Amino acid sequence: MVIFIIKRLLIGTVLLLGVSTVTFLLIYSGGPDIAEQILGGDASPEDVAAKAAQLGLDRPLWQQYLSWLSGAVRGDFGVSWYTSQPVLTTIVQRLSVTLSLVLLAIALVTMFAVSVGVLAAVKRGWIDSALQFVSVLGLALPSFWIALVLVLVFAITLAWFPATGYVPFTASPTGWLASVILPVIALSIAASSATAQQVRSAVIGVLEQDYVRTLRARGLSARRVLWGHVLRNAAPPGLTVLSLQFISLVGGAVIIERVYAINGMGSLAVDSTLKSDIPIVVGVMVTMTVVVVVVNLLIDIVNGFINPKVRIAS
Amino acid sequence: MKRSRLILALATAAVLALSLIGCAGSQSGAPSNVLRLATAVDNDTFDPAQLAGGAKDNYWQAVYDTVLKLNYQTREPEPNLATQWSYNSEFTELTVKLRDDVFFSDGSKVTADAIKANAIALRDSAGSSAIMMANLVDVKVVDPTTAIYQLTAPDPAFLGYLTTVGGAIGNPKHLGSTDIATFPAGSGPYVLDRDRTVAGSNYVFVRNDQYWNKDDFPYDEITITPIVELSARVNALKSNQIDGAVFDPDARAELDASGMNVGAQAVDWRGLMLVDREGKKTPAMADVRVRQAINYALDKDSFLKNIQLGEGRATTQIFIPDDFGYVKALDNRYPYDPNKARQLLREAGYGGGFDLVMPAFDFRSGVQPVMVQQLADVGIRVKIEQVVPDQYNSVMKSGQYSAFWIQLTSGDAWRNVMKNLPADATWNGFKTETPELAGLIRAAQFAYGKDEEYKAAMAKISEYIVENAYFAPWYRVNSLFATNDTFSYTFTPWATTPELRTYRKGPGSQTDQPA
Repeated sequence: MVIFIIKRLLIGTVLLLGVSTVTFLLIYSGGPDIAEQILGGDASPEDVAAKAAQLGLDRPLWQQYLSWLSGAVRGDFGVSWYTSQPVLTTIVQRLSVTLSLVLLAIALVTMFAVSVGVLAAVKRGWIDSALQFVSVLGLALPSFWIALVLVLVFAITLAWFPATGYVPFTASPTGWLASVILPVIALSIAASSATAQQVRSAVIGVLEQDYVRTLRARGLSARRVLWGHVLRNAAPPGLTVLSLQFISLVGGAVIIERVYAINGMGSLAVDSTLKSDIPIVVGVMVTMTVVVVVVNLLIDIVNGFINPKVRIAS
Repeated sequence: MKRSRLILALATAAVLALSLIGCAGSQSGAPSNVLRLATAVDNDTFDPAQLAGGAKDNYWQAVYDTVLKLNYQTREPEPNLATQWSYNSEFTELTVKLRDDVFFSDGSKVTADAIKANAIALRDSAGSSAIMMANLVDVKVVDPTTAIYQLTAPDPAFLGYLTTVGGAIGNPKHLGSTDIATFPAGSGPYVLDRDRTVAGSNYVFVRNDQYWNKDDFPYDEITITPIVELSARVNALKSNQIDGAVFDPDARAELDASGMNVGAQAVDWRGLMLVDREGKKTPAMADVRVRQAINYALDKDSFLKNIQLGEGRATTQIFIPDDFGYVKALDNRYPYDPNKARQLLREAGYGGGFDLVMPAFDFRSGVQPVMVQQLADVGIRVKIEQVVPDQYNSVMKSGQYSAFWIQLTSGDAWRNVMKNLPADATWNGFKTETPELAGLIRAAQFAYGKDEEYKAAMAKISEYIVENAYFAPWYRVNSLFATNDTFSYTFTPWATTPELRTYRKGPGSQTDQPA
């Protein structure tokens, strides 16, 4: 297992280097137009040239890259070209917002998907049919539409929750919960539908295995078969789906963040890309890569603990 | 036992839900004497040398004083940090006399040295407002309360600059440091609450107790929240999370239906720049009749009605009403008349039409194909080339295209002239110049200070460029602002957002400014 983790960490590091290099080269090659973008339409060519020089954009690309890389390996990703805030500070602020949304959403997805998915797989019949219907509906409804309906009903009409904004947990735990409930629900619906389907399929697949029939024949109770054997063996695909949902929620939270005016990683990525705040864009890409690597690693470790076959295979 | 656990769980859930709803209520209820605004863009910097005007004005207005302030009715400067000001007879030296009771947030006094430090820092910066000090040679400090701005030549926009970013005064101890970008150091009515501010999410400004002019700012606290998404700004205003924000025309109907205090002011113009006036790239464009034909060929009223939902006013000039250079009669100089356009093209020797390469500009509205079709109807064959959107402005300024679409802020009339017309103007990519126009510009520059003469000289510039079809403007576009019933506001000339000092407690009834 330790070797497995070290291997995955090494692959992650190579991936990180590759993603950051490609991102840097692709977007930094924009050159002096970035300076023009920062200064606005009325800036003179002289001012644009001065700004480009100030940002170091007049240097060869390889020099800019080495300069960035030497800072990055020391944890210095530079400063935003617009706000002069350190990139790392900005990302930490924004990532904590998005992670609080996504972690809560994943908790909700897990609770719903596992309970409903297992129930549908075990009971089948009308419960299973109902799950199929709700899942298709949940996947079909666009998340931005759900978000807008939730705002209209629960924020504007009933005034139960704030329509926009994010309250840090440290500022007010109840304020934080109130500010994230609607976005978390909006985020969770499609993910819950997809995950519940996957859990259902995985559990049905295990239930149909010969060893489950053998366990039943030996007289083990249905509860023991389910909790002690079926769920353990159905866990890997379920966890994999959850990890994919987590990654996709982190990357896809931008729409929900926009609707609820929550300034998280998604908004940061879009805004900094639109205004060519390149140090932030590169920082966001690196951070997202780290998130993907870490989540995948964690899922592998959890899988290993739940299921001995995974440990042996690794 | 099981039942009592269930009751306990339900009771806990109910208490939590009630406290959450109560929490939401306390957020959405308007706190007393706090002004809560939202902007469509985030603040980039508090560095006085890097400030940008327009949509980001409210951020720096909270923390910096300006040398002068603008009277909204007369559009003339009024005393602020400077109590008196006067030009020399050549209008190349502006002497300002400062108040002696203004202090920066660290307790140090605002003196003429601070005026000098800020003006020089802005001039020497690569900031987007450096153009405001482009004519500045130096600032002479006569005594702690007297400074003299020394200019290379008369600058009719200079006093106006001192009412905005050009006159924002930061603490000279912090100018040039990196921390002033995030932690403003000024003498303004408020100071940034660093503990409660989260850059990019919410900016909290608390009253500067030492401020010399509290009457202009009757609220104890101001919060400014950048909310990019239009629907989120609308929802925030409707649910009483904010008191005011800037909006797009798309939101007008919903805001009106919700009983919000909506007003509009036209600041920008949209249309075509016909910059190849000597026909260097497209020979046909050298003929004024061809440029006039382009003006006649386009149905500006239709664009305004269908693309801009009627939020604005069709025009043919780049100046805005009530400003120098605006001549009302010129707005009807080129009505939609395809036959007249064809006739002018025939007279110019282009009866068979000509080819015109233009950059793709229509990033969302759908007007581009309509424009291409209307020009094709009179014989102008437009070929559209793709341009990377974030490189659009720089490509347009480089003289690569004879004609292109643009949205530009009209702003102060003289600034408008200087950025568009002289041979070295930012938006004069082909560096065209005629002795006649150069003479008119020079006449206006040296008529500055003699109001009627200056007004007449600016009108002549406007008439010249409209008659010679330097541009093909379509319409002046409205910028919308709305508040709830807690605050009223007054529009600031040339700005998309009202200045902070214009907000007053109590409901108001805002009307659209003349477009």
